[in-house]
Amino acid sequence: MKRILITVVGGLLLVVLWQAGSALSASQPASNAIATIHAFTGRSDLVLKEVPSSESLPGVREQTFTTANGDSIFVVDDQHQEVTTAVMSVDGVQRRTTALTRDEALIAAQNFQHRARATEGLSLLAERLDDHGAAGTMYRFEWGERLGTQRALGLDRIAISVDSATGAVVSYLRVLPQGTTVNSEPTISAAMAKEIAAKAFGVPVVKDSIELDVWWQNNDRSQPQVLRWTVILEGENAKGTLPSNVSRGAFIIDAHTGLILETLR
Amino acid sequence: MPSRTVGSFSLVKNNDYRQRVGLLTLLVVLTLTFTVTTSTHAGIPANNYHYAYADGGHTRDAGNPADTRQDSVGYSANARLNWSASSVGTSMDNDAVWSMYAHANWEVMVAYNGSANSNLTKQMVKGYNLSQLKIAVFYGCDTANGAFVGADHITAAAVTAGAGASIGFYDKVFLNGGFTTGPAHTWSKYFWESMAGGNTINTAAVFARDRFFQERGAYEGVDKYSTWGNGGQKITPAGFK
Repeated sequence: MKRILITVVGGLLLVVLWQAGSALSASQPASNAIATIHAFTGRSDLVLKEVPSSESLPGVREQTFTTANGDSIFVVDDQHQEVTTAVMSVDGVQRRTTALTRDEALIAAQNFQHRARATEGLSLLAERLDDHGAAGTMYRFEWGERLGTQRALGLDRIAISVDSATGAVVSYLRVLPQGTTVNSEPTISAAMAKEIAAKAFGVPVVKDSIELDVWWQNNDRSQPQVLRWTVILEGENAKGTLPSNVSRGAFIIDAHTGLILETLR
Repeated sequence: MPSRTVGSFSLVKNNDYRQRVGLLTLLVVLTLTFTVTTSTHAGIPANNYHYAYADGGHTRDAGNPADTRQDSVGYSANARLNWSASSVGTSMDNDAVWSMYAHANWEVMVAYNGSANSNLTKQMVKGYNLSQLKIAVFYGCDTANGAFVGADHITAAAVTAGAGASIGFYDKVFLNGGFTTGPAHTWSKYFWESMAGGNTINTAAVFARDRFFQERGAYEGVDKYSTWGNGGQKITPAGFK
């Protein structure tokens, strides 16, 4: 009788341990990340579950968590123990009786930025009001640093969206500040970069735009930084293979070597 | 070995019997546990269409992360390369979850079958019965652009035809690039991670936009999205709408 009991109980224990094994092994570091999210949101009662097999950015170790009801999601950088992406539901937040102004939205975003202990001293680089249909209308504010005489966009970047119906912050995006290791003065001028792109484009250009920024080679944070021109070109769609009479391409060019790093179509 | 009679069995025989029952119970418990943790809801279709066009443009592989994530939460999902518009449309009529990554505008999405283009049109979408469809994704340029048609674009058409929710873009997006397989793949990877994690389409759309930026350092058009229908629509648990 004993042997039977031992066999069955032992078997059941094995099953329980087998089931809990992966959860137990993941829960240790997860507890740190959850504490980070609790501190970030100011809500220690937030019940979170880890997203299995979550996608990390190339060259970064991250963990992703959602709330139990799935209305919010957070990504924590493992090394820095900081929230780098947060999407927070505005369900249940009282709707305003008057329209949110741009200034009110900016104050809400700035307050959130300070609460999140994001680096101060960044410049407000862009703002807009986006209509996302059923997802609502949102003010979007983007901060960053400008480097060198050509005012290249640096790595330290923050973007915050504020829901116009409630005045609540919907999303927070952070590229964590890191030292710039690449020379932010381009060897290749903007005009030269446009020439390189136009040659590769192969279609007469009717419209162009250009941006200079610092990023990582191959979008991989474990690789060296690169100063890059992003040239977006539009031309006549002569081939007629698109449902549009415009052909469009983006060319990401190394601002020191002139090499095309990536072509987008 | 001496034995004591218990009922119609000896104790030795009874021990054998109980041991067998015990082992059988253990086997059943193990099997059930394994089945519960690995089972999929076979028969709940989710289809994802991507293309490699004759002009070199492609969304190849954008459907793969969609397929993997949908499978992980119990759908019978597929990523399908170069299927014609009529095949894509027929699938839309039967799917619980559907996505397409293609050249597009507000009226059409361009399918390519390896030799010729064909259009999935707004009118075709409106003609389907999509009352079983939870989510339709139209990844392509201007699929939710209302500049010329107001809210009568191909993304909204899916909701008109009964889908729970849909998502499209009101400006240009890029399809392919040099790293991984490009913008369509990157957006799909994060959007479906969030959807499979139990988020709503509204949350997943914001997550995909911000993670896309985190990875590539630019939005490349994916910030110009709009959702239609029920913004609280989820794909979890697996099932039809």
